[in-house]
Amino acid sequence: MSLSTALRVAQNSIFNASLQTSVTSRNISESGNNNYARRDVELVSTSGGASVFSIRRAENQELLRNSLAAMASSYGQAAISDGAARLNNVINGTNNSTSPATFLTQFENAMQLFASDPSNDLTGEQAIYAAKELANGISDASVAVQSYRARLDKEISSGVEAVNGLLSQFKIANDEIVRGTATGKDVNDALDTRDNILKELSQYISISTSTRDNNDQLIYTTEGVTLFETLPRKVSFEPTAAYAPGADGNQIYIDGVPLTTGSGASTNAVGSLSAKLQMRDDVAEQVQGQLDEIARGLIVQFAETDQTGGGGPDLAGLFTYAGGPTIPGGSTAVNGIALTLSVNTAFDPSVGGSADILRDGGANGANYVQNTNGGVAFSTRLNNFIESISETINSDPSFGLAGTYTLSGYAQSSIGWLDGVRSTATRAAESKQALSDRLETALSSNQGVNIDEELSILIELEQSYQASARVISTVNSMYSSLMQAV
Amino acid sequence: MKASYVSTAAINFGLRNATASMQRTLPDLQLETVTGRNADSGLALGSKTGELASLRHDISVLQRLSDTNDLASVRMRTSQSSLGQLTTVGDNLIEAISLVFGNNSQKSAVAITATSGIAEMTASLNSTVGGVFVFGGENSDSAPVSDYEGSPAQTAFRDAFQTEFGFAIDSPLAENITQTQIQDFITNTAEPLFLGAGWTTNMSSASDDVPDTRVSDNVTVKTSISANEESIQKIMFSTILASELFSSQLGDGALDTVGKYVIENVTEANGGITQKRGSIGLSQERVERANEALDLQKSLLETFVIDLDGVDTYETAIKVNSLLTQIEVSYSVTARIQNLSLMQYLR
Repeated sequence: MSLSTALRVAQNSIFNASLQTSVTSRNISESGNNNYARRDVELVSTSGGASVFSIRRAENQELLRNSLAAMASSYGQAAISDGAARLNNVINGTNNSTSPATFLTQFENAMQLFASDPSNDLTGEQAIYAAKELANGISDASVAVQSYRARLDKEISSGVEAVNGLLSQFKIANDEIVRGTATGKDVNDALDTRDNILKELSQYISISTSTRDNNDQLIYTTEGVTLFETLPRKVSFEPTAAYAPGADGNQIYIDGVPLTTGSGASTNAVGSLSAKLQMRDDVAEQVQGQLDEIARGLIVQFAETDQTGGGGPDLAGLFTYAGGPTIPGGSTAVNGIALTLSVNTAFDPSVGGSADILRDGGANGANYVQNTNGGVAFSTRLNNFIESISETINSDPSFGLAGTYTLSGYAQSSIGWLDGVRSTATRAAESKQALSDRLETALSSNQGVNIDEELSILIELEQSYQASARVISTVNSMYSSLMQAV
Repeated sequence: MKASYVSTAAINFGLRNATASMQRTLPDLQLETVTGRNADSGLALGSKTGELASLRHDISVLQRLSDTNDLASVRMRTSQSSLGQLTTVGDNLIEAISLVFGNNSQKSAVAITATSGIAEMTASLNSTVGGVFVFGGENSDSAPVSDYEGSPAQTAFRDAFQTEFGFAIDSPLAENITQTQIQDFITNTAEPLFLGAGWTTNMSSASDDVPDTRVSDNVTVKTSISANEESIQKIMFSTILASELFSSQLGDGALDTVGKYVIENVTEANGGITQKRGSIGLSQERVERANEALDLQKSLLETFVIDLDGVDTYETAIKVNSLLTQIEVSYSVTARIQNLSLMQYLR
């Protein structure tokens, strides 16, 4: 050992301290950034004193993986609960104020008033207006369901674009990491970017990763389809511009494999894309089917029967649809019937019809007139109609509502069904979000910067710097004593 | 990495999240405290919302039924009082005829009683509730009986008299008409004009069928009777007969025959009308019972709604209070933690 060695060691120490200070100051400046992993300077002892070996990035792959999974299921569930709330809002309105069940109640009440005063034109018109409101309410809801599906389709389409964009960004970051790792450069910033992209990807699709030589990362979906391997794989989706009842939208293909659609209110869909597919095709179509069944029930219950005993078929009465006046029979749903549900023009005073036909019958010709005497206080038919609202209907069990229902019971159960989905999904979303938040906090807590820690390191550095400086000045004074002595 | 390590961002995130989640719950709880029911019933009840919708539907329908039942009650009360007037007119007529029986010098008194009786009965039979003629049957839009004075019915009666006897009804020759002749005229000529098919041709535009009124689920009642009821035909015809013949020049014997006929028929008709009043009375009672049942059912359903959708306001009020306290604590903790940094001590 010599004085010059001591000097070199002290110099080295000063150099290390300045590098460490720069890392610490970078840490402090990024303390608010959730996607920044804390850097640490790793020193090794050499014969010439400590020297910087590498700048280490605090990372916890295990926690990151868990956090990504939790985030994906939280985003998936949130898409279901938001979607159910939106559907509920467009169909049933606030406090169910515009639900088919509410309109049906109003119509039933208007009918009761009409039946108690059948000769009164006003009560008749009121009943027809209530019927129109009911028919419009149901067909509007049906249109709203279809436009909701089209909106979801657009969201899915832009989600797919975002995924493709993220994957191409991922390639840039990954390439930089692979190149840098091979040549021994500092790639920590690129690693931050890469982790961040994984987080964003998880919002859309559930992913898992594996790492190869030179820190080259591969992304798979949890189902095992490759999303990224050296090059991004194509995620493709063909948007559908307009939706018709019962028509499924297009699938999302990842590398040619269709993405699985979620199922259940507490959905197994992970990532918002799969959940949105579920809302678009599964939930929204069931809701549409329920609207169709209510519409079909109305058409059937208010149909006109041949009064002459001549055996003519039952034909559409107060409520009709595009396929009228033939009424749909049996217990099979008619796709999209709610979309064209309307009040028969023969009944509608605003287009030259008459409410009296509701009381007397005969929208389909003289054979269908029940009030043959023509008395204006004829109430039998109206009373029968009112009772028919609380009679059982042949409902199709394939829309989540199996069992025997009355017309009003079916409409009410339809509200219950959607609110059941919404309530379950919202609860599940809360718990999945809580888990995701917890893991995110844990990850940030693990990888993030603590300013106090950095400040205390800064103090250490200051002292080490001062000590090194003192060494230099001591060596200096020793040298000068030596020089003077010589 | 040290086990106890925590990043500054995580501390801030935790604080922010806790405060935000508490603030999110606050508005709903406040609403629940004020309204006493769930802020978002659908979310709170889930699939049971269908049950809630069903209860609300039933309450609304019951309310409307009891509203329309009120209308039915008014119609029945009107029918009752009108039919009551009819029997009163009948009783007065019997009394008047009894007074002049066998001594027809005061017959004009009977004629006056009968004539005003016709007008009274016509008015009673034409009584309306909310523009609906209660005795019109299903033809409730037109007055069931038109005024007799100057009507085609009157002309028909007088023409028939003229044809039968060869002189007008007010002719002094009428004095010579015998009891047999007048009895024959009444039974074979006058009755077909006013009773049975003649009634609907000459007197009434009501329909025989009376509409049903629905008073509760699957229960219908008739709120009135038709003006075509046999008793009404009889009392009206007898009064017309009295009014026409007691103002004519008929002799004592013939008038006694007429008087006897009128008394017999009016007595019979009054009995029939009283019977009809009894059946309307039964309907009234049914409606009253239905109303009571509806009220009971409605208040029961309302309790169900409260059971299902109600919240304990006392509990929510306490929740709001403790939440407010928590939020305040969270604010002050946030402020203190923000101050808790080495920066404060490194000068």
